[in-house]
This record gives sequence, C-alpha cells and structure tokens, in this order.
Amino acid sequence: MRTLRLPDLRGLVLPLAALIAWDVVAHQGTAHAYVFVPLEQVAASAWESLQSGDLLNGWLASLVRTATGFVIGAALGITLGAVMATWRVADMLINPVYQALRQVPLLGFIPLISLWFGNEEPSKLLVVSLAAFYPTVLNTYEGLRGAQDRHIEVGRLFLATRWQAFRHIILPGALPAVFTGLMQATAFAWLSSIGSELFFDPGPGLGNLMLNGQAAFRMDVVLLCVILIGVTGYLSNTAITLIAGRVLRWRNVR
Amino acid sequence: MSLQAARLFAPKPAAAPASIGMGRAARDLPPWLAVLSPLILIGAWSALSYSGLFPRDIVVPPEVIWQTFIAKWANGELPQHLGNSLLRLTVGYAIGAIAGIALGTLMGASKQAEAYLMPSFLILRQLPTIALIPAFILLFGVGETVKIVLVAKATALPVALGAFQGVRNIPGGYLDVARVFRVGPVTRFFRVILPAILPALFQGLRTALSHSWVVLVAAELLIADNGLGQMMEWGRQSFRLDIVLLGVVLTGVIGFALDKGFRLLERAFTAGRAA
Repeated sequence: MRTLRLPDLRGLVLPLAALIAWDVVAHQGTAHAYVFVPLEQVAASAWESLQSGDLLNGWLASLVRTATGFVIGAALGITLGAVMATWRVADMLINPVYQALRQVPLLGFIPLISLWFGNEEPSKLLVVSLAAFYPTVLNTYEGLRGAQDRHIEVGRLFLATRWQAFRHIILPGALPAVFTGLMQATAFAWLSSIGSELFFDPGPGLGNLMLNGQAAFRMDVVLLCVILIGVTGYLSNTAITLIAGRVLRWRNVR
Repeated sequence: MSLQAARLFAPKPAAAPASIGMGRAARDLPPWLAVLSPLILIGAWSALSYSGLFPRDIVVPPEVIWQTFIAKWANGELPQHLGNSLLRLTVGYAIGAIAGIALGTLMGASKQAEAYLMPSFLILRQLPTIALIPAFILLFGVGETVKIVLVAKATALPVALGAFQGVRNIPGGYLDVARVFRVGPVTRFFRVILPAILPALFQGLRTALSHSWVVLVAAELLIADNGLGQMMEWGRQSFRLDIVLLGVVLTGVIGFALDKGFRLLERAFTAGRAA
C-alpha cells in the first residue's frame, strides 16, 4: 500500500536559515551592504533583467555556444575514440599523445589559445569543443575496447560476420560508456562555456553578465547568474540522463 | 533516496580531464609507449616549429622553452611562483579536506544529519567552482583569502561525498562481527571502521586534489600577483609564448605528479588489502 507522505522538509531548514541570515545581515546596512544585498533587491533585479532581456540573451548566448561546442567536440570525440579502438596503428600513434595532452587541465591552455587564436568567440568555442571532446574520446574508446570476450565468443559460435559482431555485440556493449562520456561532456561543455567568458574578451553570455556585475559591485546580478548557471547545469544533466535512459532501456538495470 | 541522488552525481567530472589520469586504457598498452608519448609529442612539436610554417615566436621550439625554464629557475622567479601556488594549494586543500571529512562522516553516520544537510550539499554541487569566482571576489576581495576559499570549496565537496559513501557502505556484517567479539570502541574505529572507509575516502581525496589544482591555476589566471597561473597570464599579456608554454607544461606535469604521488600514498595506506 502506498501512503501519501509529506516530502522531507528537513532539507529546507538549512537553505532557509541561510537566506534569513543573509537578509538580516543585509538589513544591518553597514560596511558590507554592497555584498549582502537584500533578497528583495535580488528579486527586483531578477525581474528587471528578465524584462530588459539581458539575462535571457546572455543565457541563450552561453547555451548556444555550449550546444555548438558539444556537437563539434562530441562528434570528433566519438570518431577519434572509435578509430583508436578499432585500428591498432592509430591507437599506437595517437593514444600516447592524447594521454600526454590530457594531463594539462583545459583551463591551463587558455593563455595559449588566446595567443594563438585570439580572444574572440572562436577561441571560446574551441575551449568548449575541447571540453566535450576529451571525455567523449576516452569513454568511447574504453567502451568499444571493453566488449566482453564471452559475448564475442557467443557471436563467433553463431558465425557472426565482423559487421554483425560490431552491430549486435560491440556497439550495444559500448553505448553505456559512450553515454557516460556524453554526460561528462555536457557538464564540461556548460562549465567551460561560462568559464571561457571569464578569461577571454567580453562578449554576450552569462559569464560576462557576471563579470560586469562583479565590476559594478552588483552582487544581486552575480547571484542571479550563479543560480541560473546551477539550474541550467542541473537541467542539462537531467535531460541527458533521461535520453540515456530511453536509449539504453533494453538494458537490465538492477 | 538521497544516497541514490548522490550516486547519480558521483561521476561528476572535475573541471579538467587531468583528474582521470592514466586510466585503464593506458594500462593495456605496452609500457614503453608511456615513455614514447612525450617523445612523439616533442618530436612533432619540433618538426612543426622548424618547418617554418609558423613564426618561431608563435610555435616556440622545445629547447627555447627549456632555456626559458633554466633561466627562470636560475633567477629565482620560477621557484617563487611555484612555491606560492603550492602553498596556496596545500592550505586550501587541508582546510577543504578536513571540512569535507567532517561533513561527509556526519551525513554518513546520522540519518538525521543527512536529511538536514544533503539537499543543501546537492545544491552546492550544482554550482561549479569556476562560476563562483566573481561572487567570491565580491565576498572575499582579491587577496589570498579568495584563492584559498576557492581551493577549499573545490576540495571539500568531493571529499565529503567520498567520506559519506565510505561511511554509508560499511558492510553491516563487519560491525556485527566486531560486536560479537566485543571489540572496544577504539579498536573498532581503527581496525574495522577506518579500513572500511578508506578506499572511498581516498577516491574523494584524489579527485579533489586534481580538481583543486585546476581551480587554483584558473583563479591565479584571473586574480593573483604571483603563482604559476599569474606567470602564464603575464606571458600572455606580453606575448611571451615561451613563458606561456612553459606554464602549460608545468601545469600538466605538476597535476600529473600530484595524482601519481597520491596514488602511491594510497597504495601505501591500503597495502595488504585484497584488491
């Protein structure tokens, strides 16, 4: 029997307490007044930036960059991962270089990318594409390489051709790993889309709204952007998890 | 439910691929390839640099980067930058790790604490550290504090998750056996609980280390007057690609060394356990 239960409200205590504490400090109105802005001001500026369209435009710009970079990076990543997993020579030549380059954090490449490719939108897109590229290569490669021998044995027993073995054994076996890669790529791409705006020339986007807010000591604007960034990250994560669940629904999930 | 949620977010990637380290893929390749990989890279780089396709100032030959390294090391500039960066990393990491272990253990040990804290924890996990930089600058200024807070934040969350999972997944049978043998509380902690937690905790600590290194370098690119990130930023502004490239290589090497070092430490601590 299912019983109707109240959702667990205990989790709300801490966030509410933090909000109240914030508001109390904000209304003390002294030295840190510009940092601890009253909550009604955050709400007011949220409404204001929604109406002016700043927030929406910035959000869209960051999102479009994320999506474009994700498509480029993931497509190239799946391709390279598949080539390395199936062609021994490519594996020997490319994999070590890939492993070496991977040791440098993406953000560490930013000064170099800025000098080589400039400080404009293409550099930002390059960073986002790379962010989607790395995890996709790795997971596609490992997924395709990780096909279980006993499954392939069964295929051989049934006299499967190379193509059949790939289509019906190796590919389905690799898909969960590929989706893990795509999930990581989504998170990375979104984060580096925002991050790239902090490091390159000003342009449209949430990261820049945030920087402008910081320069103008507008904590309300900064907070608003942070919240929007978190929510978008969460939603994109949920979306790709749902898609993965649908595509992989044939799997026996314990 | 919340544990499930935490698991769902568990594979949350660090800000950079460095955290994954040399994974399973590298291991089934012959070992000499590991030595070959930097050689191929350096060879290809030199060839590109000397091919004359690009000006030497843009694609700096490896030996010029090496000379820059020697010169910067000899005049004491580089050791100072590195020292500052590593000091920040150590302080921030230590604070973050202690806070993370405390928080994770508390949530793991008490259902009550989990119900109160986990939702806030999951919200916090959704906020990437890099995206918090502007807010933290407003809160903490542009001095040392903000960098240490950023590193501590980047450290605390993965560590807390590791500690939480470690504590929550202690097999109940272990505790039962300890009870049957009437093991005292001290022995129980050091011989039963701690060994059961360590693998998950180490996993969290290691993720946190790579992650916090990335966050620190990024923070130094934006806000610092010294440190490895600042050295790169200076090289960027003054069009010194040799310095930028030196910084890129050092960032990678240090990140790699931290990860490798931690793995060795981990092995020493968990020695004798069945893998």
